[in-house]
Amino acid sequence: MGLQISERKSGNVTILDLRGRITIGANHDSFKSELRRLAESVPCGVIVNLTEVTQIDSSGISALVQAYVTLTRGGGKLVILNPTGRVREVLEVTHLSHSIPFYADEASALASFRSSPAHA
Amino acid sequence: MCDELPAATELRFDSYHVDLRTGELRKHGRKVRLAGRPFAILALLLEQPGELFTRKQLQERLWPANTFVDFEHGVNAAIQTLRRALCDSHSKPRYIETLPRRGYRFIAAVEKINSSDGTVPAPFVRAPENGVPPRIDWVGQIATICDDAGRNYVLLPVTEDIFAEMSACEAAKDDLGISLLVAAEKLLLVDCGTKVKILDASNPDLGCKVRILGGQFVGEKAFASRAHLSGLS
Repeated sequence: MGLQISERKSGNVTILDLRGRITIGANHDSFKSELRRLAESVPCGVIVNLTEVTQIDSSGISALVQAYVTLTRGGGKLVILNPTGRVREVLEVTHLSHSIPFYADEASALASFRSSPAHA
Repeated sequence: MCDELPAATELRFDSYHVDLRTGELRKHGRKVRLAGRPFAILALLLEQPGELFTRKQLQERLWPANTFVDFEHGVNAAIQTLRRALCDSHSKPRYIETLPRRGYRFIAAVEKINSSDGTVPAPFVRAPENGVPPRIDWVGQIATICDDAGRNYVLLPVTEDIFAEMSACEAAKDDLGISLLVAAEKLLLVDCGTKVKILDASNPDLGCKVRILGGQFVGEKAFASRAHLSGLS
C-alpha cells in the first residue's frame, strides 16, 4: 500500500491523517508538497497523524523536519500524533521524537495549540 | 619563582598524542577533533593520571567564578564528547573512569614528552604495538550493519567529519541538529542487516569507510562505527 492523505480542520488547526507508507516515490512527493503548502500558509497549526502509518524512511523524515522548521520560523507549529511500532523507532533513532512534540491522542495534540498564542 | 620543572607540553597515551600548547589531539598521527571544555578536561586529567578529579574541581577549573550555568549538564556533555573522541566507554573505560558521585580519573599510562629539557620529541609515528593497527585485511570484506541496543535502524554518517558533528550534537543534546543532518542526508538511516563493503579500515577501533550494498542508500559511501559492523574476521 502506498500513502493516502486526508485533511480535516479543527478550529484553526489542520490535521493530516496519513495511512500507509511514507517512503521515497510518487506518494512521498504528495506528502512533501502537502506539508510544504501548509507550512507556507503560516502562521498555522498542523497535526500530522501517523497512527496508521506503517513505514517511514529518511525522505519522510526530511519532509517532516523541513515542514517543522518552516512552520516554526513563520510562527506556526507542527506536532506529531501517535506514531507506533517501527515508525516510532525511526523517529527515535533520528532524534525527531525529541525535536518535534509528540502526542498519544488527538485531544492532547489539539490542546497544545490552545496554549500557543498564534492559534488561540 | 618556580623551582619545579616546567610541565610537559606534549603527552602520549596508547595511540594518542596530546599537544597542550596547540590544543591538538592526534591518534596514529591523525588529528582528532576535540576542543573547548572536552579538551580542557582531558588536559586536566592528564596532569595527574590515576588521581581523582572531582566534579567540583572540574567546575572550578573550567568555568569562571560567578558563572551561572547548569554545571552538571556541562560536565556530563563535555565528558561524553571526550569519551567519543577517545572511542572510550563509560561501562568499560580504557582511559576515563567514572567514580560515581565523585568524579573522574585517567586510568591509562601517560608518557610525558618534555622538550624544554633539551629532549627533542620524537616525531609521532603510527605505533601499532600500543594502539589498534590498520586492518588492511578487512578492506574488501562484506560486513553487516548491526546495533548493540537491538534497534532495527542506525544512522551512518557520510564521512568522519559528519561522525564528529553527530557526536558533538549528541553530547550537546542537540536533537534538532541530528534530525537536520538526517534531513540533509548527511546521516543515512540504514536498516540493521544491510550489507556493506569495507573500503578503508585505517582507524578500525573508531570505524570504517564503507559502501552500502542495499536499501534506500545502496551505492552510497558512509562511515560506520566499529559498534555498527558485524561479521568482520
